[in-house]
Amino acid sequence: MQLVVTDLSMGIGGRVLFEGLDFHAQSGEMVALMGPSGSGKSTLIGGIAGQIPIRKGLVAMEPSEAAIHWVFQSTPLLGRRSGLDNVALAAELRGVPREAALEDSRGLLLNLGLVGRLEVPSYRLSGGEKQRVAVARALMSEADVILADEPTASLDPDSRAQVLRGMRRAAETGAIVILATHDRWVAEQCDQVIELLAAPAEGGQD
Amino acid sequence: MRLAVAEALRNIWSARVVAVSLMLVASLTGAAVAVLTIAEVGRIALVTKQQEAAGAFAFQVVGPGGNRPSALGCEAIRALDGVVGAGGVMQTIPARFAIQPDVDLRVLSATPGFAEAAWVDLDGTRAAAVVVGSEFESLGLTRGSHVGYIGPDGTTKVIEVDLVADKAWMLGSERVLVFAAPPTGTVEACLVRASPEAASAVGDALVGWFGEGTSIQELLVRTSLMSDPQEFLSARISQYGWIAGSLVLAAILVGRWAARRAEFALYRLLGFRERALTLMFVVDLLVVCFLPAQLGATVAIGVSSPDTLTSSALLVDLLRLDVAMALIPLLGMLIFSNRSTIDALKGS
Repeated sequence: MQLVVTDLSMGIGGRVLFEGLDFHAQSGEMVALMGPSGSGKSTLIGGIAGQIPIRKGLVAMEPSEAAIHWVFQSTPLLGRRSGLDNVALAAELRGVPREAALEDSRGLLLNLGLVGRLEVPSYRLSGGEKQRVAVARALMSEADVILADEPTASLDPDSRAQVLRGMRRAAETGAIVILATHDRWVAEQCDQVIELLAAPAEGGQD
Repeated sequence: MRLAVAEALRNIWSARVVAVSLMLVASLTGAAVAVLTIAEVGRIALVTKQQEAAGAFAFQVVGPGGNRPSALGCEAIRALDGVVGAGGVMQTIPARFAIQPDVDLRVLSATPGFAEAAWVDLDGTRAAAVVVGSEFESLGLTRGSHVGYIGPDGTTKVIEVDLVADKAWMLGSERVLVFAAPPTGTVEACLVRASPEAASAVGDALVGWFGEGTSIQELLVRTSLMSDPQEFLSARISQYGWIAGSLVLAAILVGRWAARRAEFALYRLLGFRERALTLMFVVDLLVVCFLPAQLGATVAIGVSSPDTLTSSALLVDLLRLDVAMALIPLLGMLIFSNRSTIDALKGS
C-alpha cells in the first residue's frame, strides 16, 4: 500500500490553506501532520479521504481501492453498546463470525489496557478509554489507511501513550497511519512529520 | 444485510427500557385508532339496526285496485338487489290453543320468505318451518316443542316449532304462529324488507315489478331514525384516526433516530450502505412501532368483537395506518441524507 501526495493545494472558500505539498507514505508508516490551528491539517485529512475537494495536485493510492478508517478527537461510539461490541462490529463488517469477532476484540482491548471495562456501555467510559476503543476498532477494521484527527488531544499522558501504542500496532499490521496533532511528543513517535505553516489569513478549518 | 438486522436488534436490546416505553406508546396508539373506529362505526351500525328493527326500510305492497298480489311473484322479489326478505301471508286462520282453549291465536300460512321479512334477525327463507314470536315463551314453547291448535272447524292440528324468535316488528304483540308453505295463489299483501342503503331503489323497483296502480306503503317508518348509514360512514371522524396515529408513531421514530444521528453516521463511516441503514430503520420501525401498534389494535378488536360493518371500516383504517407507517423509514433516510457523515460525527 502506498500513498502519494503531489503538488497538493487545498483551501476553504476563497482562502488557500497550503500549496505545493508533496509527500509519500507506505504500509507500516506513521505520518504526523503538525502545524498551528487553521493551517489545514484536518482539511488535508479530508482531502486524502476524498471528503473535501482538492484545488490542485494529486492524491494517489496504490492500489486505488483502499479501505480508510477515521479516528477523531472524540470519536463517536455506539453509546449504549459496550466497548467490546463497538470493536467487534468492525470485525463483523469484514465477515468475521460474531463469536470470533468478540474473542478477537476482547484480546485487543485487554492489550490496550481496558481491563474490567469491556462490557461497560461506552457512554460510561472516560475520554481516554473511548479513544482506545476507537483505536481498537480501527485496528480491527484492518483498514489500509487510518486517518486520525487529533486522536490524543485532551488525553492524559498514560492514555495518550496507549493510544499511540495502538496506532503503532495498526501500522505494524500494514496500515498507513496519518495523524494530525499539535503534540510534539506524539509527532516524535511517528516515522515522518509533515509541517504545515500558518495560512496567510485568519480563521479556517482545523 | 444480516449484520444490519442484527445491529438494529442489538441497539434495541441495549436500550430496552426506552424501547419498551415506546412500544407501549405505539400499542396504545394502535389501540386508540381501533377503538375510535369501533366506537364510531359501532354507533352507526346500532342506528342502522334500530332503523331496520323499526321497519324503516320495509314496504307492504298491494296490487292494482287492491287486488292480492301473486304469492310466487312476491317470493320472486327476493332476487332484486337490496331486498333482504320478501314474502306474504296466504291465509290467516283464527284459532285457539289446544291446551288452553281460552287463549286466542292466529295461525298464518305464509310463503317461505315471509319470516325473513318479518323478523329482522332471521337469515334465509324457511320452507315448511314454524316460527313463533317470543310471546309464546311464557307458554313454554321452545324449538322442537309440539303445539296443538283448534281451528275454526273445531279440529285439532299439531305442529312442531322450528324457532322461537324475537318479537316480529310487523306482527305486534299478538300471539301469531307462522308456518311456511309452498307459495301458491295469492298473498294478502307482499311484505318486502330492503337493506337501508338500497331502500329507495327497491321502492322504485317495486312499481315496475307489480305494474301501474300498485299500492306501496312504507311500514312503521320512524323519521327520527331515518338516516343513510353510508352518509354517516363517509362523514365519520375515525376515518382520520390513522393520520393522528401515524403522526404520533412518526414523531416517536424520527425523534428516536434524530437523537442517534451520530450513531447512524458512524455506521455509514464504518461501511454500512444506504440499503443497510434503511433496513436498520425498518427493523426499528417493526419492533418498536409496527408490531406493538398491531398488537394494540388486535387486543382492542378482540375485546370489542366488532360486527361486519365495523370490521370492514377497521380493515380500511388499519391498512391506512400500516401504509403510513411503512413510509416512515423513508422519512428517516431524508433526514440523514441532508448532512455529511463527517459533519454529523464532528457535531456529535
